[in-house]
Amino acid sequence: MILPVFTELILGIRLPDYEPFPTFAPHFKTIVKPMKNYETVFILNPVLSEDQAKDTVEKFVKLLTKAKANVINVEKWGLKKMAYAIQNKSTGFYNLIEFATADSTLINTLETEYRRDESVMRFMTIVLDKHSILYNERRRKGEFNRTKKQAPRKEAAEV
Amino acid sequence: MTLMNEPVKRAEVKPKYCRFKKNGIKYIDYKDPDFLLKFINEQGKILPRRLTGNSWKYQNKIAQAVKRARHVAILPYLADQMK
Repeated sequence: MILPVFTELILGIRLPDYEPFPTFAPHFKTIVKPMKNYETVFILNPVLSEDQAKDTVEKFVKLLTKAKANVINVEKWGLKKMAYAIQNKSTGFYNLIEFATADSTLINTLETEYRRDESVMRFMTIVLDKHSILYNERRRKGEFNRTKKQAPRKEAAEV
Repeated sequence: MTLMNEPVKRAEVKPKYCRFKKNGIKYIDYKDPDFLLKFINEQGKILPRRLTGNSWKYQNKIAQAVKRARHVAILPYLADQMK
């Protein structure tokens, strides 16, 4: 590429005004950001009553819906035994929210909200790829019930 | 089950294979501890590819899933006797 300044000198003509630092893809600004699916798991303190636990889950769901996220699935696994003690507690209320949003800053606001809430003992948010979205859809339909799920896999592994 | 690819008798060494490639499993769920239990030993350590026979791609996914499960206390970081 010849710089426009040199072309002007060589050809002896004045080129139309050019941007000193051209933006490479100005149309990017107009493109709508793609929706991404996320999945977030959080563990609530077992000291809470069941109603309180429900309310806190609703609080987070509301936060997501307010930010125009598309809440796909909310699962409450109830009081579950944990594999190791967190804050000297061996059980916790497990909750799962699956949602889709185009706004990635929403994850930060959600996680700061988790940190502010003292009843949240542990949380994790992950992005879902195309395979996991399909998997979660099938999981929601109940295709992976324990007995059904393990039978074909065992057979396949032994062959 | 876990050590399906480990040769016990040297005489009859079966070729290793990746069970995910064979069965067409694309995603490994960290929420399913029973399945992940096949890829960790009694201490809770992730088994090497040498023993599980997984391909590099799926071994990495297994490792990712196990680590996620550990973070949300579905699997332990340390254990004495898991199985």
